[in-house]
Amino acid sequence: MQVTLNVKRYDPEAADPTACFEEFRIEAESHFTVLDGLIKVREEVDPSLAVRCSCRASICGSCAMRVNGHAALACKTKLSTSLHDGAVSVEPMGNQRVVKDLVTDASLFWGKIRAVEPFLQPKGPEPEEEYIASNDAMLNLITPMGCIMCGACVSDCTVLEVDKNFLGPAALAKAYRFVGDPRDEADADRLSTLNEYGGAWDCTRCYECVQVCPKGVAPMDRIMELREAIQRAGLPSTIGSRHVDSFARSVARSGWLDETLLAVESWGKFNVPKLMASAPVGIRALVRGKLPKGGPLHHKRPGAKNVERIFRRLEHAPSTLAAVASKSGSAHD
Amino acid sequence: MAAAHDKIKELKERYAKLPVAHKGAVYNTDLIFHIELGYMLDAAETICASGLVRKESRGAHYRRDIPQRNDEEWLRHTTAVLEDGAARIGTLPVTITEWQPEARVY
Ligand code: FES
Repeated sequence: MQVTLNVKRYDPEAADPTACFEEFRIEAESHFTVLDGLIKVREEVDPSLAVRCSCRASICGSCAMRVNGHAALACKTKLSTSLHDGAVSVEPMGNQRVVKDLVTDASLFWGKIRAVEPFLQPKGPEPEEEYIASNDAMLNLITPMGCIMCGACVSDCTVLEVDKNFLGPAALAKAYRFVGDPRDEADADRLSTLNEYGGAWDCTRCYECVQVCPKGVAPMDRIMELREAIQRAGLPSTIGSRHVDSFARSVARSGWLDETLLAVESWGKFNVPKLMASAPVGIRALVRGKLPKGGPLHHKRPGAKNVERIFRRLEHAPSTLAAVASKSGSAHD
Repeated sequence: MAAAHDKIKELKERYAKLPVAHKGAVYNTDLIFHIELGYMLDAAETICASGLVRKESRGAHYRRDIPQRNDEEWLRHTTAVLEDGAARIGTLPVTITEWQPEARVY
């Protein structure tokens, strides 16, 4: 079949190095992946096309790029199912510096991974033989351990797009891999770092990383587990954790969300500058009748009792993080 | 094997005249593959030339014309040195320590 690859090209050495799309028309086999198509372009049409790849079997993590706007492994994405009117668009990953064409600089990615100290930190004397971990205790680590460091999640992270200080999905999933490891005993330090600016609370839960991860690591879910571990460890509250608590309290109490109180409690009742700064917005909303009745004026929903019952039942439900919680708990005892 | 050896020789001659189409200095895979191809041809020649010299069968090196192993003459390493663009094959003695060599039979 005849297909068109619209490839975003960038050559830092060109007279005009502005990145722009170039159209390549090739004859593709039905089994072709996007990477097969790019390799064909490189081999038969334009040898200057820069593409990074190695295994061609979605395990080395070299070939992440944006296909039709979203990060993916080019070698795991079928060409035939990526076509819109016979064409596919291919761009380098986002959030990272483009070296040339589809090749991005991985230093931001590795810097973040390094920052979470991705190695076991056990305490006490070294065992005679290996560190033993039970099978069950490692089960919750299977997903984060599946990460092949391709950077797809970092490419499409909507927080990193506006704040490069954020550790980002890959590094946080990696952090969870050690927080959740029964042999690691640096949880107290790890969690308190993750509780800071740039850590677990900076995720906006947009789900993009979960969607683009080619290995089912679901980084955002790991970030949520880190938040749970942080809260169980009793670390100082943050806007993020207060938001979670206020949200839950409000729903448990009235069956629905008290948005006004949520804002006040998240920022902190005594965060006068922030509350003052948002006063004009609040007043405008009030004048236009759009300020939800908050605090004592927030009414219970009919059936709030049933919601309360759900909350009570959840409190006694076993947590998926029970193992982690008890471990980080003991580290603080 | 002799035919393959000739073919590699021919490819090496063609390779010597092969231009690199892309002249960029940044992430130039055209250049990288060009260099790698040269090394691959060297490796292919080494395998082929060593196989021709080694008149026995041993492990993955299997010759239909000499299917037997010959420890008497060939319990030796093969060495290859690039000389005037071709592989010069030699041998070195094997130091045997704990594990005695024996035939692999299943
Ligand atoms: S080439 Fe290895 S993951 Fe795509």
